[in-house]
Parts: sequence; C-alpha cells; structure tokens
Amino acid sequence: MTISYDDVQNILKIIDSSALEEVHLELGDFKLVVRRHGAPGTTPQVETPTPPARAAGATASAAAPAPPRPERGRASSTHGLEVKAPMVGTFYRAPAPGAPPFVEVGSLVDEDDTVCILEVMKLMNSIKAGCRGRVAEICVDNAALVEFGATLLVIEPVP
Amino acid sequence: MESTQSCAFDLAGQGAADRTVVVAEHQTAGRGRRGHHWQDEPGANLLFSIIVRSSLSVARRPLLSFAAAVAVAEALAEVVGVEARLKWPNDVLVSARKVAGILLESRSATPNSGLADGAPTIIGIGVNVAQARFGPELAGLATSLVLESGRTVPRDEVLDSLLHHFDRWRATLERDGFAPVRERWLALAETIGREVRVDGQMGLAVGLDEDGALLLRDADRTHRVVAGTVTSRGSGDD
Repeated sequence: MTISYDDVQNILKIIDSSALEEVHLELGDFKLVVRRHGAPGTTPQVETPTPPARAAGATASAAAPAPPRPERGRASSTHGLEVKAPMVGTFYRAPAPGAPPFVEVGSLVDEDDTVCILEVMKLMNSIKAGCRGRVAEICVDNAALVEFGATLLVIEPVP
Repeated sequence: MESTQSCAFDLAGQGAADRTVVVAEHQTAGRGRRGHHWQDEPGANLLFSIIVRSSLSVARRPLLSFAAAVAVAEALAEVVGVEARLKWPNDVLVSARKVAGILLESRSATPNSGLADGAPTIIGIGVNVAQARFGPELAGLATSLVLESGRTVPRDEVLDSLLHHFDRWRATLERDGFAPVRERWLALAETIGREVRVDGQMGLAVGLDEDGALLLRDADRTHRVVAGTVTSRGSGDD
C-alpha cells in the first residue's frame, strides 16, 4: 500500500482535531509517528525505509504542514532542559497556599530539588529539576491545569 | 513521629520493599492536602503510610487513590459495620462526616529521565478510630468510628482488614485496569448526583471519567475536574 501526500495531510488533520497525545501508524514499510507534546516529537516524524514508498521529497514535505499546537506560555526558543508533566494535573509553584514558591526564574537548582507540585486525584506529585542548573522559564501559571507532557519549566544546565 | 509519610519516603529511599507499612501512634506534623495539618489525638487513631511500588505507568498511578478509598470503606463495613461513603476522590465519610482521609505523594523526575517509573507512591491513610472530640474548626465536619458505632474498635483489626482490601483492589487495578475499581467506587460514592463546589467551580457531579476525573455539569456544559476539594452541604474541607 502506498501513502500519498494528501493521505498524510488528512491523517494529521484527524489527529490534530482529536484528543490523542501520540499516534504510531505503520502500513507496510511506511511508518508515521506523531506526538502532540514532547521534545523529540514536536515535529511529526515520518520515517520511510529504503526504498521509500513515495519520493523522499513528498514525505519530507508532509512533515511540515502540521506543526504542533503552540502551548500557551511555552518557551519559544530555549536551549535548556524542559521539565515536562508526567501526568495530567494542577500545577502548584508552592507546597501550600501562601508559602514561598519552590523556585523563581533565576533560581539555582540541583537535580533532586523539587521545582513544583502536580496534583491529580489527591496524589501530590513533587517534580524534580532533573538536572543541575538555573531556572530559565516557568511556563505555567500557578493552579493551572496541565496536560500530560506539557512543558512546566525550562532549566538551563549549569556545570 | 512527625509524619508517617516522611518516614515512609525515607525508608523507600533506603530501598524498603513494596507494601512496607509505617504506623504511628501520633503524628506531630501529620500532612493533609496542600499544607493542611492533619490533627490527631495521641493513641486514638489509625495513622499509617504504605510504600507502593506499582507496575502502573506514572500517569496511571493517581488511580491508586480510588483503590485506597474503596479499601477503607470496605474495611470499615467489615470490621465496624458502619456504612461508609466516598467523597471524590478519596475522602471517607460516615453520616456525612469525614472519618478517614487519604493523601498520596510521589516524587518524580521528568518522563524523559527514565527515573520516574521506579519512584514509589506513598499512600498515607488516617482513620479517626477512638477520637471523641475535634477542634472547633472540625466541629460537625469530622467523626470517628467509636462515635459512630458506639463501641470499642480495635485498631489492629481495622489495619489488617484495610491492608487486605487495599492489596486486593490494587491488584485488580494493575491487572484489569480502572473499570472494576471505578464501578465499585461509584457504588460507594456520596458525591455523584449532588450539587457541589470544587475550588470555586460549581456544578452537578454527574459521574467519574475513565481516568478518575470528576465530571461536573453546570448550565450548558460538562467540566472535568482532576484536583481540588469538593464541598457540599454537610461535608467539609480537608
């Protein structure tokens, strides 16, 4: 079975209008991976082994027309490590209402430092920085709902 | 002890096994949701934390909240004979007053780091067993098993039963998914069918979504609620 440029366009439109976070589609030697969030997949990946089902130009351009939805407040260009939500939840910057926030932009953090809390179904999930560095950006408002995989903070690694 | 949650985290960090349980006679710094202090009368209540190293994916572990709530309700029915009802997601009520609270905590790294899956979930459960008086801020909102049943309640029997039911519901969740736990939770739910407020959002609680979110309907649409404190007439804050 061969997949045309229009087919890919249509598949991406369907995925974009759905609630799906991630889709893997394999038809013979054609493989399409689309992720709504997530650094490795922020652009749809279309992989075709050699020999390709279609001309390489068609598959490459198929990847271009459907950029991921921009996330509100998200870093537009950063070189830091994006701390992503491991689950859907409410984002809290402090351990309790009125308490000082875990971090501010500019704070220095160690790998194991808590940078925020995500609450879901009364599970309070303390999110670690994941690397030693400086908080470059806090991408979500306090008490906002975040989806799985959303970027919460950006941390610029410091040696 | 300051808090069974803190102690359980320390033990888990030293490699304590799945299903390790930490029990306290009294907590000097018992934790509730979002910085709330969990108060107890020394020696009167059942206060413990379970270290859970679940096979569920990190994103599915919040569902343990419902397994724990169902387990508490079943243990109270079995040992004490009281009819417990559940307030979303996991408060346990008897006669519309809170008799037990559950708080889950985890400390995860980001999904990309590969560390997230190994992180334990610590499930803290506080059951008011023999406490006869509550502070003015809890008056009318909290109760205990002794107050409700009018008889002595052995804490160790409640604990044994609760751990047994929790193991069973957790295994069901890990093996068969959320559907059977959800069905049992709905059968015990106090919240569904009531007008409630969740952190400022008002609506009619109409159901439980397949990921545990509370479905709240207002005039023209249905909202999904994943976090917050449900308040309605006769039930309290935690």
